Amino acid sequence: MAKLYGNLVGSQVQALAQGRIGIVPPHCKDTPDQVLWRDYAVFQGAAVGDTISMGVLKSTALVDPLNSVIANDAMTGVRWDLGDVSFPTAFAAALNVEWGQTVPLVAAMKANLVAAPLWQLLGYLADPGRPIELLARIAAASTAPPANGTAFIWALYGRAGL
Amino acid sequence: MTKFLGQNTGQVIQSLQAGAPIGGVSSLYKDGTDRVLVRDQVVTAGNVIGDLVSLGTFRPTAYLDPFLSSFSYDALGTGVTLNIGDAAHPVAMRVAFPAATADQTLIMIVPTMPAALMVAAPLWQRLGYAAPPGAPIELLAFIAGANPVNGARLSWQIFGRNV
Repeated sequence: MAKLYGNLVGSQVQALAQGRIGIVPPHCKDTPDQVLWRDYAVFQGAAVGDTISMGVLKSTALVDPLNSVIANDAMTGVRWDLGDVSFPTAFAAALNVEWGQTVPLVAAMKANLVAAPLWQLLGYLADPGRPIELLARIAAASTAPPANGTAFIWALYGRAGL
Repeated sequence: MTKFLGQNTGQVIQSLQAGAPIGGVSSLYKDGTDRVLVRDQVVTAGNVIGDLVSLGTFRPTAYLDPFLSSFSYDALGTGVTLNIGDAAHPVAMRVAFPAATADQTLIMIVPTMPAALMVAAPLWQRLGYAAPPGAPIELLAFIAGANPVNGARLSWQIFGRNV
Protein backbone atom coordinates (compact mmCIF):
# COMPACT_ATOMS: atom_id res chain seq x y z
CA MET A 1 0.00 0.00 0.00
CA ALA A 2 1.62 3.21 -1.12
CA LYS A 3 1.71 6.25 1.07
CA LEU A 4 2.12 9.54 -0.71
CA TYR A 5 3.89 12.50 0.85
CA GLY A 6 3.27 16.09 -0.13
CA ASN A 7 5.80 17.67 -2.43
CA LEU A 8 6.28 20.81 -0.43
CA VAL A 9 6.32 19.63 3.19
CA GLY A 10 5.80 15.89 3.58
CA SER A 11 8.64 14.69 1.37
CA GLN A 12 11.03 17.22 2.91
CA VAL A 13 10.17 16.12 6.44
CA GLN A 14 10.59 12.52 5.30
CA ALA A 15 14.04 13.34 3.97
CA LEU A 16 15.05 14.81 7.33
CA ALA A 17 13.68 11.74 9.10
CA GLN A 18 15.98 9.65 6.93
CA GLY A 19 19.02 11.74 7.71
CA ARG A 20 19.12 13.77 4.53
CA ILE A 21 18.80 17.50 4.38
CA GLY A 22 15.33 18.61 3.39
CA ILE A 23 14.17 22.17 3.33
CA VAL A 24 10.51 22.99 3.74
CA PRO A 25 9.57 26.20 1.92
CA PRO A 26 9.24 28.89 4.59
CA HIS A 27 5.64 29.67 3.75
CA CYS A 28 4.35 26.09 3.78
CA LYS A 29 4.56 24.89 7.37
CA ASP A 30 4.02 26.33 10.86
CA THR A 31 3.87 29.89 9.71
CA PRO A 32 1.08 32.43 10.06
CA ASP A 33 -0.42 34.02 7.00
CA GLN A 34 -0.42 37.78 7.01
CA VAL A 35 -3.20 40.12 6.13
CA LEU A 36 -1.71 41.38 2.87
CA TRP A 37 -4.45 43.85 2.15
CA ARG A 38 -7.96 44.22 3.65
CA ASP A 39 -9.79 47.08 2.10
CA TYR A 40 -12.85 48.48 0.40
CA ALA A 41 -13.32 51.11 -2.30
CA VAL A 42 -16.37 53.30 -2.77
CA PHE A 43 -17.43 54.26 -6.31
CA GLN A 44 -18.15 57.76 -7.53
CA GLY A 45 -18.78 58.29 -11.23
CA ALA A 46 -17.48 54.84 -12.16
CA ALA A 47 -17.48 53.68 -15.78
CA VAL A 48 -17.08 50.30 -17.43
CA GLY A 49 -13.35 49.67 -17.85
CA ASP A 50 -12.39 51.50 -14.63
CA THR A 51 -10.14 49.63 -12.24
CA ILE A 52 -9.75 49.21 -8.52
CA SER A 53 -6.24 48.99 -7.13
CA MET A 54 -6.42 45.91 -4.91
CA GLY A 55 -2.89 46.25 -3.65
CA VAL A 56 0.72 46.42 -4.73
CA LEU A 57 2.52 43.24 -3.73
CA LYS A 58 5.92 41.69 -4.24
CA SER A 59 6.02 39.51 -7.32
CA THR A 60 7.06 36.64 -5.05
CA ALA A 61 4.17 37.13 -2.63
CA LEU A 62 2.24 34.02 -1.77
CA VAL A 63 -1.39 35.06 -2.05
CA ASP A 64 -3.60 32.43 -0.48
CA PRO A 65 -5.85 31.67 -3.45
CA LEU A 66 -8.61 30.00 -1.45
CA ASN A 67 -9.04 32.28 1.56
CA SER A 68 -8.54 35.57 -0.27
CA VAL A 69 -11.96 36.86 -1.19
CA ILE A 70 -13.93 39.62 -2.85
CA ALA A 71 -17.45 40.88 -2.21
CA ASN A 72 -19.54 43.84 -3.28
CA ASP A 73 -22.60 45.84 -2.30
CA ALA A 74 -25.85 45.26 -4.12
CA MET A 75 -25.28 46.25 -7.74
CA THR A 76 -26.99 45.37 -10.99
CA GLY A 77 -25.28 44.22 -14.16
CA VAL A 78 -21.74 44.66 -12.88
CA ARG A 79 -19.11 42.03 -13.75
CA TRP A 80 -15.51 41.90 -12.55
CA ASP A 81 -12.25 40.96 -14.21
CA LEU A 82 -9.57 40.09 -11.67
CA GLY A 83 -5.85 40.07 -12.41
CA ASP A 84 -3.15 42.63 -13.10
CA VAL A 85 -2.39 45.00 -15.98
CA SER A 86 -0.71 42.30 -18.09
CA PHE A 87 -3.12 39.51 -17.23
CA PRO A 88 -6.35 41.33 -16.43
CA THR A 89 -8.50 38.20 -16.31
CA ALA A 90 -5.99 35.80 -14.76
CA PHE A 91 -8.08 35.14 -11.67
CA ALA A 92 -11.59 35.68 -13.00
CA ALA A 93 -13.32 37.01 -16.13
CA ALA A 94 -16.70 38.74 -16.12
CA LEU A 95 -17.40 37.47 -12.61
CA ASN A 96 -20.80 38.16 -11.11
CA VAL A 97 -20.88 38.53 -7.33
CA GLU A 98 -24.26 38.55 -5.65
CA TRP A 99 -24.82 40.88 -2.74
CA GLY A 100 -24.01 39.02 0.47
CA GLN A 101 -21.77 36.52 -1.28
CA THR A 102 -18.04 36.25 -0.79
CA VAL A 103 -16.15 34.78 -3.71
CA PRO A 104 -12.62 33.36 -3.77
CA LEU A 105 -10.13 35.65 -5.48
CA VAL A 106 -9.10 32.88 -7.84
CA ALA A 107 -12.19 31.55 -9.59
CA ALA A 108 -10.84 28.21 -10.82
CA MET A 109 -7.92 27.06 -8.74
CA LYS A 110 -5.23 25.05 -10.46
CA ALA A 111 -3.86 22.48 -8.02
CA ASN A 112 -0.25 23.11 -9.02
CA LEU A 113 -0.60 26.77 -8.01
CA VAL A 114 -1.56 26.30 -4.36
CA ALA A 115 1.89 27.46 -3.25
CA ALA A 116 2.93 29.45 -6.32
CA PRO A 117 4.39 32.95 -6.22
CA LEU A 118 2.08 35.69 -7.39
CA TRP A 119 3.80 36.09 -10.77
CA GLN A 120 3.17 32.44 -11.56
CA LEU A 121 -0.38 32.55 -10.26
CA LEU A 122 -1.07 35.39 -12.70
CA GLY A 123 0.45 33.59 -15.67
CA TYR A 124 3.81 35.31 -16.11
CA LEU A 125 6.43 32.98 -17.60
CA ALA A 126 9.15 34.52 -15.45
CA ASP A 127 9.32 36.79 -12.42
CA PRO A 128 8.89 40.33 -13.79
CA GLY A 129 11.25 41.52 -11.06
CA ARG A 130 9.06 44.38 -9.92
CA PRO A 131 6.06 44.79 -7.65
CA ILE A 132 2.73 43.70 -9.06
CA GLU A 133 -0.43 45.74 -8.68
CA LEU A 134 -3.52 43.55 -8.48
CA LEU A 135 -6.49 45.08 -10.24
CA ALA A 136 -10.21 44.51 -10.29
CA ARG A 137 -11.65 45.86 -13.54
CA ILE A 138 -15.27 46.65 -14.27
CA ALA A 139 -15.57 44.14 -17.09
CA ALA A 140 -16.67 45.04 -20.61
CA ALA A 141 -19.49 42.52 -20.15
CA SER A 142 -21.06 44.79 -17.50
CA THR A 143 -24.40 46.26 -18.51
CA ALA A 144 -23.95 49.16 -16.08
CA PRO A 145 -21.18 50.54 -13.88
CA PRO A 146 -21.48 50.42 -10.08
CA ALA A 147 -23.78 53.11 -8.72
CA ASN A 148 -22.36 56.02 -6.72
CA GLY A 149 -21.77 55.15 -3.09
CA THR A 150 -21.61 51.39 -3.59
CA ALA A 151 -18.48 49.54 -2.56
CA PHE A 152 -16.15 46.80 -3.70
CA ILE A 153 -14.69 44.82 -0.82
CA TRP A 154 -11.69 42.54 -0.68
CA ALA A 155 -9.27 40.77 1.65
CA LEU A 156 -5.96 39.27 0.54
CA TYR A 157 -4.25 36.83 2.90
CA GLY A 158 -0.90 35.14 2.47
CA ARG A 159 2.79 35.86 2.79
CA ALA A 160 4.40 39.09 1.64
CA GLY A 161 7.12 37.32 -0.35
CA LEU A 162 10.88 37.04 -0.42
CA MET B 1 -10.30 55.70 -17.05
CA THR B 2 -10.60 56.01 -13.31
CA LYS B 3 -8.66 53.89 -10.89
CA PHE B 4 -10.35 53.49 -7.52
CA LEU B 5 -8.27 53.13 -4.38
CA GLY B 6 -9.29 51.37 -1.19
CA GLN B 7 -10.14 53.45 1.87
CA ASN B 8 -8.12 51.52 4.45
CA THR B 9 -4.86 51.13 2.59
CA GLY B 10 -4.81 52.35 -1.00
CA GLN B 11 -5.75 55.97 -0.32
CA VAL B 12 -3.40 56.23 2.64
CA ILE B 13 -0.46 54.96 0.61
CA GLN B 14 -1.30 57.35 -2.19
CA SER B 15 -1.35 60.29 0.20
CA LEU B 16 2.08 59.21 1.49
CA GLN B 17 3.30 59.15 -2.09
CA ALA B 18 1.89 62.63 -2.53
CA GLY B 19 3.99 63.90 0.38
CA ALA B 20 1.71 63.54 3.38
CA PRO B 21 3.54 62.99 6.66
CA ILE B 22 4.27 59.41 7.65
CA GLY B 23 1.53 57.69 9.48
CA GLY B 24 -1.53 55.97 8.36
CA VAL B 25 -1.95 52.41 7.24
CA SER B 26 -3.03 50.23 10.13
CA SER B 27 -1.46 46.82 10.49
CA LEU B 28 -5.04 45.61 10.79
CA TYR B 29 -5.31 46.10 7.07
CA LYS B 30 -1.84 45.51 5.67
CA ASP B 31 1.06 43.22 6.59
CA GLY B 32 -0.33 42.43 10.02
CA THR B 33 -1.17 38.96 11.26
CA ASP B 34 -4.55 37.92 12.55
CA ARG B 35 -4.76 35.71 15.57
CA VAL B 36 -7.10 32.93 16.49
CA LEU B 37 -9.18 34.92 18.97
CA VAL B 38 -11.35 31.93 19.85
CA ARG B 39 -11.77 28.43 18.49
CA ASP B 40 -14.27 26.51 20.58
CA GLN B 41 -17.30 24.26 20.66
CA VAL B 42 -20.28 23.24 22.77
CA VAL B 43 -22.64 20.25 22.74
CA THR B 44 -26.34 20.76 23.39
CA ALA B 45 -27.87 19.02 26.40
CA GLY B 46 -31.39 19.82 27.55
CA ASN B 47 -31.28 23.23 25.91
CA VAL B 48 -34.34 25.31 25.13
CA ILE B 49 -35.27 28.36 23.08
CA GLY B 50 -33.62 31.43 24.52
CA ASP B 51 -30.50 29.64 25.72
CA LEU B 52 -27.24 31.40 24.95
CA VAL B 53 -23.84 30.23 23.87
CA SER B 54 -20.97 32.39 25.02
CA LEU B 55 -18.73 32.70 21.96
CA GLY B 56 -16.04 34.76 23.63
CA THR B 57 -15.40 38.04 25.37
CA PHE B 58 -13.50 40.73 23.51
CA ARG B 59 -12.42 44.30 23.90
CA PRO B 60 -15.02 46.65 22.42
CA THR B 61 -12.33 47.79 19.99
CA ALA B 62 -11.47 44.26 18.80
CA TYR B 63 -11.26 43.68 15.07
CA LEU B 64 -12.99 40.50 13.91
CA ASP B 65 -12.13 39.29 10.43
CA PRO B 66 -15.40 39.39 8.50
CA PHE B 67 -14.54 36.65 6.01
CA LEU B 68 -12.74 33.94 7.96
CA SER B 69 -14.66 34.07 11.26
CA SER B 70 -17.17 31.26 10.99
CA PHE B 71 -19.73 29.19 12.78
CA SER B 72 -20.44 25.49 12.10
CA TYR B 73 -23.12 23.20 13.47
CA ASP B 74 -24.72 19.76 13.48
CA ALA B 75 -28.42 19.49 12.70
CA LEU B 76 -30.09 21.19 15.68
CA GLY B 77 -33.62 20.05 14.86
CA THR B 78 -36.55 21.27 12.79
CA GLY B 79 -37.25 24.94 13.14
CA VAL B 80 -34.16 25.83 15.15
CA THR B 81 -32.54 29.11 14.20
CA LEU B 82 -29.59 31.01 15.60
CA ASN B 83 -28.97 34.67 16.18
CA ILE B 84 -25.54 36.12 16.83
CA GLY B 85 -24.82 39.37 18.59
CA ASP B 86 -24.38 40.50 22.15
CA ALA B 87 -26.81 41.09 25.02
CA ALA B 88 -27.66 44.60 23.89
CA HIS B 89 -27.76 43.84 20.15
CA PRO B 90 -28.70 40.17 19.92
CA VAL B 91 -29.23 40.01 16.16
CA ALA B 92 -26.52 42.40 14.99
CA MET B 93 -24.18 39.84 13.43
CA ARG B 94 -26.65 37.26 12.20
CA VAL B 95 -30.44 37.02 12.28
CA ALA B 96 -32.41 33.78 12.41
CA PHE B 97 -30.18 31.66 10.31
CA PRO B 98 -31.67 28.21 9.95
CA ALA B 99 -29.81 25.46 11.81
CA ALA B 100 -31.85 22.37 10.96
CA THR B 101 -29.42 21.04 8.35
CA ALA B 102 -26.22 19.35 9.45
CA ASP B 103 -22.66 20.33 8.64
CA GLN B 104 -23.25 23.90 7.62
CA THR B 105 -20.66 26.60 7.98
CA LEU B 106 -21.54 30.26 7.89
CA ILE B 107 -19.42 33.31 8.05
CA MET B 108 -20.22 34.95 11.33
CA ILE B 109 -20.73 38.52 10.21
CA VAL B 110 -23.75 39.33 8.10
CA PRO B 111 -22.31 39.63 4.59
CA THR B 112 -24.76 42.30 3.46
CA MET B 113 -23.49 44.72 6.09
CA PRO B 114 -22.31 48.06 4.63
CA ALA B 115 -18.69 47.81 3.51
CA ALA B 116 -17.33 50.28 6.04
CA LEU B 117 -18.91 48.39 8.93
CA MET B 118 -17.95 45.01 7.59
CA VAL B 119 -14.32 45.70 6.77
CA ALA B 120 -13.25 48.69 8.79
CA ALA B 121 -15.22 48.81 12.03
CA PRO B 122 -14.38 47.85 15.61
CA LEU B 123 -16.63 45.32 17.26
CA TRP B 124 -18.72 47.87 19.16
CA GLN B 125 -19.57 49.75 15.97
CA ARG B 126 -20.36 46.61 14.04
CA LEU B 127 -22.78 45.54 16.76
CA GLY B 128 -24.60 48.84 16.54
CA TYR B 129 -23.49 50.72 19.65
CA ALA B 130 -23.48 54.48 19.24
CA ALA B 131 -20.31 54.71 21.37
CA PRO B 132 -17.86 52.17 22.80
CA PRO B 133 -19.55 50.65 25.84
CA GLY B 134 -16.40 50.91 27.96
CA ALA B 135 -16.58 47.27 29.05
CA PRO B 136 -15.63 44.02 27.35
CA ILE B 137 -18.21 42.66 24.95
CA GLU B 138 -19.37 39.07 25.21
CA LEU B 139 -20.45 37.71 21.86
CA LEU B 140 -23.43 35.39 22.13
CA ALA B 141 -25.27 32.93 19.95
CA PHE B 142 -28.97 32.73 20.79
CA ILE B 143 -30.97 29.58 20.21
CA ALA B 144 -34.32 30.49 18.69
CA GLY B 145 -37.20 29.02 16.71
CA ALA B 146 -37.50 25.66 18.48
CA ASN B 147 -35.89 23.63 21.23
CA PRO B 148 -32.71 21.97 19.91
CA VAL B 149 -32.01 18.23 19.96
CA ASN B 150 -29.54 16.88 22.49
CA GLY B 151 -25.98 16.03 21.56
CA ALA B 152 -25.62 18.46 18.67
CA ARG B 153 -22.33 20.25 18.34
CA LEU B 154 -21.84 23.93 17.66
CA SER B 155 -18.37 25.13 16.86
CA TRP B 156 -16.91 28.47 15.96
CA GLN B 157 -13.66 30.11 14.98
CA ILE B 158 -13.08 33.81 15.33
CA PHE B 159 -10.02 35.38 13.73
CA GLY B 160 -8.85 38.92 14.08
CA ARG B 161 -7.06 41.16 16.54
CA ASN B 162 -8.13 41.87 20.09
CA VAL B 163 -6.74 45.40 19.87
